[in-house]
Amino acid sequence: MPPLQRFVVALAGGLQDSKAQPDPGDFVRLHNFALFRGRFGLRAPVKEIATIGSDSQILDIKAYRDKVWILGWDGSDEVTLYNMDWPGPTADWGTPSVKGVIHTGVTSKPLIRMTPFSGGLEDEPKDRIYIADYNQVEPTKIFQVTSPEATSILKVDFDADPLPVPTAEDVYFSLMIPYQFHLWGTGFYGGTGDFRPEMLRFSQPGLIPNIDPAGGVDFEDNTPASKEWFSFGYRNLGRRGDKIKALSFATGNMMVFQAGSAHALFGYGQDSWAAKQVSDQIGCVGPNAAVQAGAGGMCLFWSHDGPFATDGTQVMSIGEDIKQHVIDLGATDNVSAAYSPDDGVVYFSLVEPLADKDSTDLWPTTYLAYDVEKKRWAEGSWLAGNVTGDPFALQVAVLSTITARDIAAAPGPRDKPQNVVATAYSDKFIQIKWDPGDTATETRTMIHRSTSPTFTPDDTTLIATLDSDYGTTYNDKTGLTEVVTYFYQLQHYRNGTYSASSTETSARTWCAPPVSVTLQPIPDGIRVTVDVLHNLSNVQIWRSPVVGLGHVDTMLAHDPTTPQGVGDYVFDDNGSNITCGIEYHYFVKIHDINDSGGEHPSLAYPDEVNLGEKLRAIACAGEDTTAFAVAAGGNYLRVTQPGKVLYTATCFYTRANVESDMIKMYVDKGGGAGYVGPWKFPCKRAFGAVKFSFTAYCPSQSAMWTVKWESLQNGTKVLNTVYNDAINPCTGAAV
Amino acid sequence: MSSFILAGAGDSNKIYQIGRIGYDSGAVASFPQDPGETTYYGEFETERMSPAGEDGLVRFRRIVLRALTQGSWEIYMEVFVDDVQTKIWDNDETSSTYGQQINQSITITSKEGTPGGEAIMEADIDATGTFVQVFVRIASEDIQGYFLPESLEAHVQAIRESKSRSTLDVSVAPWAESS
Repeated sequence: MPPLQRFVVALAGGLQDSKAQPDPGDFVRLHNFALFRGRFGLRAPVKEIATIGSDSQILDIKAYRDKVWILGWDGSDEVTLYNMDWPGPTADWGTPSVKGVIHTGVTSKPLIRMTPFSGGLEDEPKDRIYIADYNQVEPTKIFQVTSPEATSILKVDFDADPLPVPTAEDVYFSLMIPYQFHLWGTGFYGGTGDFRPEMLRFSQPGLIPNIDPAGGVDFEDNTPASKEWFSFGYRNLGRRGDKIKALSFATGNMMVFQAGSAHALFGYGQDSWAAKQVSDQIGCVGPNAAVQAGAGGMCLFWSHDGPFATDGTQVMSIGEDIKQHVIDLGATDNVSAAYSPDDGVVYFSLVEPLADKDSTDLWPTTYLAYDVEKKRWAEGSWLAGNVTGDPFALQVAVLSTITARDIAAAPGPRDKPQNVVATAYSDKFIQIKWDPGDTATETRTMIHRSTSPTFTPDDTTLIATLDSDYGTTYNDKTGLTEVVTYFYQLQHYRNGTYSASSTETSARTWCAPPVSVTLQPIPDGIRVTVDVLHNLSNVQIWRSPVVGLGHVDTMLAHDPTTPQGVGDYVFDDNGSNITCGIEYHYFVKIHDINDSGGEHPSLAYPDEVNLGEKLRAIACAGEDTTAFAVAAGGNYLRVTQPGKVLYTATCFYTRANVESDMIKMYVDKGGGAGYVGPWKFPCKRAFGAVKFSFTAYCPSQSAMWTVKWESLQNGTKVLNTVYNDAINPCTGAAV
Repeated sequence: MSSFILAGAGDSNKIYQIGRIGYDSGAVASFPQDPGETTYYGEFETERMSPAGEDGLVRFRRIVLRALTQGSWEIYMEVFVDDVQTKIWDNDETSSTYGQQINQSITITSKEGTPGGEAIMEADIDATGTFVQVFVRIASEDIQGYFLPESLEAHVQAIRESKSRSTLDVSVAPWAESS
């Protein structure tokens, strides 16, 4: 008996139609296996990860800006946009939430797809999802994605109007794709019977508006038309009316497929776009049937002749080994292709063999998997049975590859604003200070304000948007009212993304100041009158000596419990601590007795400069009635004050403890002419007595004179003294 | 995890994630089976292979499947020689075909607690003919982790060499080795 000998029947291989000379790497049947790293392996299960609303059909799935976006149709009316969280290292998929109803009145099965695009300027990012109906029944819509998403909006109007007229008209793109930082859309629909499905239109780079050389005015502000899409930004491919079926990429080219032709478009801008026909026979069957196998790789697509690949220069059949499967499986617009970078496999979902492939109600239930590196095929189907023992094949509306690359976005703020503090300085002024959480130059700070605690920032709470060079202090002086607590939250904004809100802080505005505070000297002091506006407020009256004497404030009156009511509140400052002849400052604080927010100066303290003369007064009617010695010398009048000395060095007038550097003298010579003067005497020239000299008046002067003097310090009157007795300057006789 | 393939259903509101071969395979906790705990079957069928050439005659005695596995497994195999399924005697006294030859349905199961690694599954057959064809089926619920077939061999004895393909003396055929 000869020994047994080994004969290899099969190696790791792929699906093949039977060949004349079999290869051990071939299988005539390879179901639910796929090539995997040089071997082939049993496929992995599928997993249900989400359901959306009550919709009956998934239209499209895309990854964009940290989310997975889903478009669903309810089977009779609405097309709705959802998104859900991308799974993290430990977290699973999120739960889809509704972002908006895109279309209504959609009664027949649509083929609507999404195209994310990020463009715009640094301070005006345009992170958008364009939603286009392949069949051009529904107008193209734009979903502007912002962060937080609550501020995302669905743009109804679309300024891609191809005509230079000041209107925003609906645009009906069939397909859309970003290429070379331009956004491209196919097809033109100008109304019934006006189709140009072979037309390609392209936007301005990055959707940054520019003045349209074709003229016209902007539909929003009637200025010269600044448009994201120019009127002449289009190209035509192929014969008129030959619909563009699919768009994809191949080795740096944008691939444009019609039913029976393929084109490679390339260039860097409107001056350099060029297209070449790669095939005049092979095209693509539908909008989901073309996919690029890896970044910069070949484009694989399904044509009416089966699967093909192109590098933008030539079209190559990759379906020769599975021709029988191609014929069995057939093709409709429903073919969907997706590339799995992890597996290196392109999946094509196809209508299962022997099904009525002409029916528009059929969905693909079988897949063919093509290993891009090994160039081998496998086939299978995914089961979606919800009852054990009663499985049925998953009916695939769309296959979609989403990668971390799609998720990535320009960096947002590194952190939220820190150490936010709000401080009230009046009834209409709160100051906010913070430390930036992100110091990037493009980072802006949004200040939100509400009268409700723990509020959620949105457009209605936004009061200011500050550039990074604004600083870290903001004076809120708009829209504040007295005795209200305002809550503040700050956010940073960068590259279209908002940070989390800062820790909430608050401040309470002060009571409104009185309309007026008036001072009136009274014989034994000063009367303070306050016009109170706030019905529930009480009043504090504070007094201090004039500037320069230590500025010790004294509270004179304060009833912490009894409101004064609206109107004049009068307080006579005539206590033992007031000294006649001295000038005092007063200021007033208002306090709402129901408010725990503290006391509220009516005027900005200690901003004394702005206190104004009206809050200064000299006690006791401004007069010093102390007797002066007045003597006439024939042609002069001598005024002395017994026991009082003007010191030459210090000019210190001891009586009133008032320091002065100047004395002004006034004389009323009678006859109703009033005081004349002053005659100025710097204290450097002070005497034991002050002497005034007059000339040529005595022989004819008979009226009694009255003398008044003032002491000044730094030009400010600090003491007012009146000599009340009259005297004849020539005779010295008192009247 | 860097990428996913998602499938949107055309007849429902459900979204599915397509598991990745080798990572999500084989009844792992996150991917137990297809939705609804639906078992699916991996199947492959070889070409007709003629060890001694297209008109040679060979006695087939053994089919060996070598696979890299991650845990326990069970496979089902059918072997066809000249398009006829291999036969065995039915020794089941309760069977209506007891004592008769019946088609050979081969089930091979790993030992309990198999830790994984390279597994060799040998099917004992005895049939003489020119070509052999092997059909293998694996139920997704019968494997743990990945299951990666690597090679499939027939162990044979050459009876008559091929005339039309002159070098198919199995003792010198370049793709045949003595064992």
